[in-house]
Amino acid sequence: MTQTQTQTTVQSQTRTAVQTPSTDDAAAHMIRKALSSCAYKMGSKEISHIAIKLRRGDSTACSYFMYSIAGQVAEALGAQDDNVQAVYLFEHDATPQDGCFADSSGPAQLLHLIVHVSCQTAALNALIATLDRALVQAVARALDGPPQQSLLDVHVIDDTEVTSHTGYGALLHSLHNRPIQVWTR
Amino acid sequence: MEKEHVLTGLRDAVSEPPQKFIVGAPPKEGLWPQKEGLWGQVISTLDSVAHQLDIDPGIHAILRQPERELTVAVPVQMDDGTIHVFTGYRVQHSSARGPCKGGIRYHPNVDLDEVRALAALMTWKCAVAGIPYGGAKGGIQCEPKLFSRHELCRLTRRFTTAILPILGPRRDIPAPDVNTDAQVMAWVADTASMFQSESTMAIVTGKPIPLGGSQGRRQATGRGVALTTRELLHRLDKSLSSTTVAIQGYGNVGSAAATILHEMGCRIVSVSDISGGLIRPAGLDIPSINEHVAAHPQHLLEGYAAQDVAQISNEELLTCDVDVLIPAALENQIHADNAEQIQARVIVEAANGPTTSQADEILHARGITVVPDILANAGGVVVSYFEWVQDLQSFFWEEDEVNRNLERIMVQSFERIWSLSRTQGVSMRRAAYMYAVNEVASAIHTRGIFP
Repeated sequence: MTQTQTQTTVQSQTRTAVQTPSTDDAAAHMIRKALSSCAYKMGSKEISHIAIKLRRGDSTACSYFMYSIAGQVAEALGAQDDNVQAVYLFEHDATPQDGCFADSSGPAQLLHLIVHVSCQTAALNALIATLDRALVQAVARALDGPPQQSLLDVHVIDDTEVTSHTGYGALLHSLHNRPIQVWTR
Repeated sequence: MEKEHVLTGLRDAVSEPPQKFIVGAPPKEGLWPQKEGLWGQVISTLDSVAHQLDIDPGIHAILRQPERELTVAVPVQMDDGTIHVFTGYRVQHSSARGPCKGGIRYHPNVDLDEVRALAALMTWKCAVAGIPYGGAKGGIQCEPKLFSRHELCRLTRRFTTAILPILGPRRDIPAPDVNTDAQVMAWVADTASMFQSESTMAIVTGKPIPLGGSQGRRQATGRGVALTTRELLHRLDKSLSSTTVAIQGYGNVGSAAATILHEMGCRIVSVSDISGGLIRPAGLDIPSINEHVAAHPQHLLEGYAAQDVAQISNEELLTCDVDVLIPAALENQIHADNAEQIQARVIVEAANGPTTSQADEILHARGITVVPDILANAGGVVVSYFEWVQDLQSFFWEEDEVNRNLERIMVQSFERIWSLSRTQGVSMRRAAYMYAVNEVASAIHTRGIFP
């Protein structure tokens, strides 16, 4: 099988996944799981209490909530696209020593992810966009708030960017604030 | 060979043949051991600066090794009853100029090499800022988001207990860093206070204000960036009102720098964040942008619209035609591929390490002045110093006083590095390292070697 054929097959497999009506269900499941995980880590038995904390922008609750979503999104991308090699979560912060003094971003922070792939495809971008839309709606429903523009800030990088230390690939070699690997194949 | 490398800054690689190094023997130029990793990069810069300054070989040898390295096992009983053991580090690179100062980070990739390198960078940063501290760093190799809040508290308290023998307001004062915050610092301070049976809040900085934190810390780094920019423009005989500025990154640091420079009279023509950028050659309305960002659920520039304001990408912002470019977003944003396209006359590094070593060489060759991160973003550690001073006195300042003292220290620091850069004919980055290494070496020399 040629590389083009492989790519086409992967794209068609991914498209099938994207068009599956269960994307919304999957997103809703991710949010439920993130709420439960957050409640457990915050020592709370009531999901509704966590939803209130998230709506108020409690930074600890928000960080647990978003971390759980990051792991699940990474797992979903890896499961649906064989090109995905690893997924990293990173802080979009100039100076890590200042991060904790910034204003809390509330329940709808952006998830900054770097997706390391063996080959860039339009199908993966479509999958990410679909998942993002579904997650935005699921968060809005779970927290009873208006839907945000976006939840995912995903940067897809390939081996060239990693080895040449260019683009977001350079961040993987960061000294001051290295991204955290949340999933690997 | 050494002299040709002196302009390339921290991350340059000085190619030296691997040599056997006998610890404690007076080293000679060209006979240094080659070290790997991040620590190796820090040592390369130190070696090249020390040779240029003709630092006493014995003192140079002292600076090549951290004063103290403590590796500790941190057992934690998890909520499910299981016991996990984590590895923690505290490295004190130098206490020649005062107690050690540096953050504590929780991250899966923390290791001794990284902590050593960051500890040495803190030594240089405190010396450049002229505050009476040495350098340290610490961390635990762990993924903190996998911990519950209770587990994180137990991890922090056990780690604090393990490193407490080398901490103290007159020994070593930690601060927040990657994945640690004011709450973690409060746990550290409380643990130390319990062991010492007295309130020891000055043992850490970055605390919540009710526990002895300082006013003015939130904007400190951005304010320092703005003050540094103002001083540079003054030296270049450029008026603030005729200066155009572009800022990449509109988080805590970038937005504070934009706001203060705008208040000083500069024309902020372009800003950007993760959602994209805005440009208006006549100058952006920064207060209006700040209102928009504050109201945006994700605190982003996204959706901002005003007359004559056009959209711009983050990459385009870096190369737009302005007097001052302030990278305040991520590391390695200015690299060999875009350094030739940069049109700004000066770059003020608000982020840590925004310029790669290759780009640094290109910018220097093109005559673009770069104010290095070690100087430009030192405002944060300076206000941490103020927090420590206030805690020791148990007397707390109004924000005005914090800002006034920050200005005094940043202006003095800038003047020292600028003058050295001019008199020695080197880049400001090189001058900053020369100044720092010389200051620490002088302190060691004056104190003498005990006993």
